Amino acid sequence: MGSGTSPDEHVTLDGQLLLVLASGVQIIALRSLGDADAAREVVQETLARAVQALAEGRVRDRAALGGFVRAIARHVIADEVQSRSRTVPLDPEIAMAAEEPDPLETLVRAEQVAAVRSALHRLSPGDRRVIHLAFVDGLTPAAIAERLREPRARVRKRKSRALDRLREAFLALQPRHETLTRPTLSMEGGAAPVVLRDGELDD
Amino acid sequence: MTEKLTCVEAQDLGLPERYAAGTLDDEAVERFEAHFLTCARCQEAVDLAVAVRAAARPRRLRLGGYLGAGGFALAAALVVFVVIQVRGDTAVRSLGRLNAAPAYGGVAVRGSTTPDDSLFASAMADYSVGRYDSAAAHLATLAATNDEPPVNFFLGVSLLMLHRPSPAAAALARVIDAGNSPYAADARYYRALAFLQADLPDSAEFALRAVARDAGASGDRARALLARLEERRSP
Repeated sequence: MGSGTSPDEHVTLDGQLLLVLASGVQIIALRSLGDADAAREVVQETLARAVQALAEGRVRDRAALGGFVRAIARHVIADEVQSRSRTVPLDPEIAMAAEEPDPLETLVRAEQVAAVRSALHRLSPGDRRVIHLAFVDGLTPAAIAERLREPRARVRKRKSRALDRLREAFLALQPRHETLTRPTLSMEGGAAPVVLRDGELDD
Repeated sequence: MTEKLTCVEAQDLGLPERYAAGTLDDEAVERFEAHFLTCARCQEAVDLAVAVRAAARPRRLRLGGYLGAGGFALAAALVVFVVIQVRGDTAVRSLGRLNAAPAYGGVAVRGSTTPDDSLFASAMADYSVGRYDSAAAHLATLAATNDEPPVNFFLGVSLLMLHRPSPAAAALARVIDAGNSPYAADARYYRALAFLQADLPDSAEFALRAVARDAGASGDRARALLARLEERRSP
């Protein structure tokens, strides 16, 4: 992970931290914009600005790095949204017809989903119900316990057990971080735009 | 500024899955995003949540496999009407649940026996015994070249029974657009159910009010559902 852990020292980025940041910005941008190409541009622009800011010593607390990069990402995303503001608002009926799949699904591959689906089918009905309430309905742990009329500790145990199995199936295939390439950086004359390209590992 | 999150807290609070599901409030989103930007473990948890959501979702109706050469136009049209997933039984959505499909009264598609008639008969045989997926597939094939109200009506109802509100609403809209047919009033009512299944109560209310003006049984049914909708929506 990154270096520069104490306040009053400049935070620096190593390649691994940069990858993690890129991956995180990709999630945020995809969720906000629903467009993989636009998300890639947001990642590049955000990291370019972040690297520049770090080179100028504007971040002195490693613990604040996430919030700092998030603020940059939100600005970049807002600019992107504004550039698209010519789109015509849809009425609910048309919006319903045009609804697209979850944009975040581009984060995972079809074979990963298939592996998780297979693992899901192997869970007990009770565990599967907990997973459905947590992941599909997005309920809080307390709400799940209330819905199932089970103690929270029991629900937590069910979820933890089920999630271990799903994670095992998911991680059996290459995670997204391992498919992202390392950003290439040139610090000559300051920070250069970060470039993320598939299939171009630099070491 | 709120305190920084740890991975353990994020997992305990179910933040990755709630983030993926879009059920976190703005403050929680801000905290979680600021955390996971430098946390590979929590990013992985978000990825896993996305995969689980995709895996847990009901499979979409695979019309392509059932369509003949003439059916691809409909398939393409239905791709536009991407299925809206029914995510849990909210108070409004549960009103859109159709416990029993309307009975098929044996209305022929055409006056003479044609391949379309055979396909329709086959579809309605499936429909009558509750095989709505097969009925929908046959009716979708038929609807590609035959836009008659009974085809679209029973296609819409079959899709409604399969909890596919978006294409159901589209098929039922074609019945309504076809003008005055014996199916039009019922199509308006069932389209309102599709809106409810899709958690679009405003659209449902608008559609139901139109049907509620009818003096007949469909009007009674719409008024009763409107009353229940208003009851569910009242604080």
